[in-house]
Amino acid sequence: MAPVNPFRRPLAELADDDFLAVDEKTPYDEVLGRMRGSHAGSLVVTKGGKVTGVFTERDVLNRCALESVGGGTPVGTLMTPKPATLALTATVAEALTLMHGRRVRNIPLVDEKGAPKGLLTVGRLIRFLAYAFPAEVVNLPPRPGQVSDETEGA
Amino acid sequence: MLCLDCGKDNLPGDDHCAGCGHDLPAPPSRRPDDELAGRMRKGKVLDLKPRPAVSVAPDAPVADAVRLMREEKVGAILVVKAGKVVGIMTERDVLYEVAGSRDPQAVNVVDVMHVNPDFLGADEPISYAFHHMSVGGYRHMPVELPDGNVGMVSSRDLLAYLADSK
Repeated sequence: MAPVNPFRRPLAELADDDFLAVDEKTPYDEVLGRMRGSHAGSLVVTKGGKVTGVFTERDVLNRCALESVGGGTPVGTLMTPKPATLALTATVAEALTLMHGRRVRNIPLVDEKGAPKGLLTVGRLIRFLAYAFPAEVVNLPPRPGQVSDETEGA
Repeated sequence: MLCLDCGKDNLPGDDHCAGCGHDLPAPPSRRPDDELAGRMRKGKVLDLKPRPAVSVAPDAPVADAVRLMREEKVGAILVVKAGKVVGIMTERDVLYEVAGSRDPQAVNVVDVMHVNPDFLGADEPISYAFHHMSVGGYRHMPVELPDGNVGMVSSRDLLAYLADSK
């Protein structure tokens, strides 16, 4: 049996069901509140149940932070429209290629009707790949060469 | 056992994350790509091609830092006082601490920055950058460059390295 290559794993394994999705009409202040409340840096924007955009911390930095954006402004006017999307059956390799090639850090995952089924962030992708290489990444001490002075629990 | 949802490092064998309660993934049954594992051990942080860090003073208004971040197209800015790095401010801090709630001209960088950020060494293995960004949840990290300057690597640089490896 060949080793399991993490790059060939389907995105369904990474997808969560607690990502944020809001309608285009949702006001800016409500969107900010939900992102802060969920410790999220991005969310999916929809219209009629289909993905039409993403709204990210980069959008906030570039379009909102210095501008007088009213709290009632619909997020649909602030979002990044027409984001690249992938199906849950797409692979980690495809997601990596898309993020790297299109220079995006958030990819909405959609079903065949375009409805949101997840949001793949660069942080989640990196955590997944780190977990695939536990000996190299996850079990490392915080600094190279670090040795504990005490046995665990001492 | 790393939680894919919140990043908490749980005890091996745990079924649920102690941080957020979500299910933890089953461990991989087989060792994955050994070639990439080797590259991650042998590659150096310098191979991630750190870019010169953009910096700002701690008493500068957040608005100035945001303008600089826009001009330089960066998601994080180092906060430097008397030639010493004292903090880092990211676009996440702007989202959480300023946007829609405070006047960016009236708030100073020192009030929203993270103090004393972790550094990477240019000669450290890439796996250390990977470790800090996955376990620590960082998306930008300063790097001590051989010439004495400070550079910055991002999760995007790590993606580029991985994209070339798959």
